[in-house]
Amino acid sequence: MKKLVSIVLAALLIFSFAACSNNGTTDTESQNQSGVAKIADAKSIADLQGMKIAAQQGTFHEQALSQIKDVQKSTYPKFADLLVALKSGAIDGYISEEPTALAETLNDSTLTYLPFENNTTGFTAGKEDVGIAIAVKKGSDIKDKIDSVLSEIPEETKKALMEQMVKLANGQDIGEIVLKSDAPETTTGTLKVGMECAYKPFNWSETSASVGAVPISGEGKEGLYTNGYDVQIAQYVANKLGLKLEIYSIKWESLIPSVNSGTVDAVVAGMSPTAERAKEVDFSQTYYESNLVVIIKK
Amino acid sequence: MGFLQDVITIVKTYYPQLLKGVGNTLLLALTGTVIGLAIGLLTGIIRTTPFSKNAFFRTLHKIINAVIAVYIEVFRGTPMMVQAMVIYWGYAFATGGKTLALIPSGILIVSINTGAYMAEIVRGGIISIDKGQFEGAMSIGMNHTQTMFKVIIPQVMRNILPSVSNEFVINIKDTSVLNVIGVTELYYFSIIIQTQNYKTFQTYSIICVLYFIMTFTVTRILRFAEKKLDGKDNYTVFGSQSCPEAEIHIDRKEAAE
Repeated sequence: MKKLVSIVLAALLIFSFAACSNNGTTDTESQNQSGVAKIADAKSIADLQGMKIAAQQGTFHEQALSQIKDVQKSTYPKFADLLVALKSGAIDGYISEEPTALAETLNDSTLTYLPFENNTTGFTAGKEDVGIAIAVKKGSDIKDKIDSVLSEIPEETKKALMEQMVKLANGQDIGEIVLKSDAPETTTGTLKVGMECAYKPFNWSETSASVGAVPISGEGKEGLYTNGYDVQIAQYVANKLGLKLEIYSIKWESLIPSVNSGTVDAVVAGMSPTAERAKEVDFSQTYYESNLVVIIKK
Repeated sequence: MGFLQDVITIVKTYYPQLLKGVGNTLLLALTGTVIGLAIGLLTGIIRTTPFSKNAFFRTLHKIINAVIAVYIEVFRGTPMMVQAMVIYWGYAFATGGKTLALIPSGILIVSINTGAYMAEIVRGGIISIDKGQFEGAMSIGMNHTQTMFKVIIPQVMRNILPSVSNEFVINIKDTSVLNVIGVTELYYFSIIIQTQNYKTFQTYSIICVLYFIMTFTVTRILRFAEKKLDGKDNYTVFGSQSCPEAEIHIDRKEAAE
């Protein structure tokens, strides 16, 4: 009896797996014909009417989402969840910064994005919304030093660095990094920096060091490296200030507490200097500004 | 077959991380369960001890009981993920930026959380022992301490073993929530692997299998330990060479029928 039951259960399991994989492909096909084909033609955010669009919870993207009229909104707690939701067919598209969108579409040929431009065809957004800045503890004197280092970086270098990082995130060879700085001969202290290490192409984790990668500090993180736009900026700032860079991997929701408690000196995490956050921490000038776009399936 | 190939590639590329994750998960779950059981035994024994006649000790005992009751209710009544955040970041704010070492703070969180459950499990185990056992021990002149350690606790340990193994299995799975403070257990690495290769389903399938192997092995080992604690099915209570009719044999299978 037991054997019979177990055979039946095993058969059920196999069938359900097979059924799942079949459903997966038919779902995407049907959507390609109806919903997604239409979404790919969208020229401005007004064309997204009636679509299922998602954004990451607690970000400016969530507010931007409400700028689209008559859209079926949903939010997800983690950025990575959005990709899963899109692939599963739960949503038609999701809001992302252009560099992230570029990285993800390079990595996955089934994806593409709608290249909206802020304040024209795209979302209405200010510097504090789509720019990213370094967060430090309120009243910290390191802010002015960081500002003076950041103001030295030309706009073209920032653009070129972002393009390099997108390519690097996709595993392509980029040669030498455009934002160059020499390590100081003697360091006067450490600059502890917090970031998620899970937000391509701003900062990501890897198990073998790519060009310019920095090892992640902290217990149990041996053999883990981080790289990305934020990492290069942090390395540049640390070198210019004569400090030794230490990068800590911290969850998004813990980043502001970590800088407020003094666990890290600065947060370089692709974080926008919104008014709410500015109540808690001080922000440097922005070190990148990007368009908000919508990632969709081809 | 693409799926299987992806799985093999992921295992081949990331096996050092996967192994490290498994190791840390087991370390957290094992030490957490053992320390939790110790906390449970201690609190269980304190709470089932009859009140002393001495007014001072009676009051002290009542205060300790109240503290234990608060501890159990608070830690059983809040999610472990929230406790991890409160303890880890609370400490950082209190000390102006110092952080607890990750693995030890993970062990601490799992231990006190498990301790709260174990306290109730042990208390349940002690009060389920037949009153006759206490009375019998008293009648041969044992005091409460002797009764507890020589008669009651050994029986309690056998009786609560299934619940303890239950907790152990729950801990193996629940340590995954410690990724919120950055403890490098198995789930933490699964996030890293998944953000590197974008193969969500394949990565988590591997993680699923690894968790199942861990829990299944642990339940089997503890089931074996239970069998060992039960002893043999047949044994002789009283033997006699001259008069076989006087011998007393116990056969558990017969007794069950």
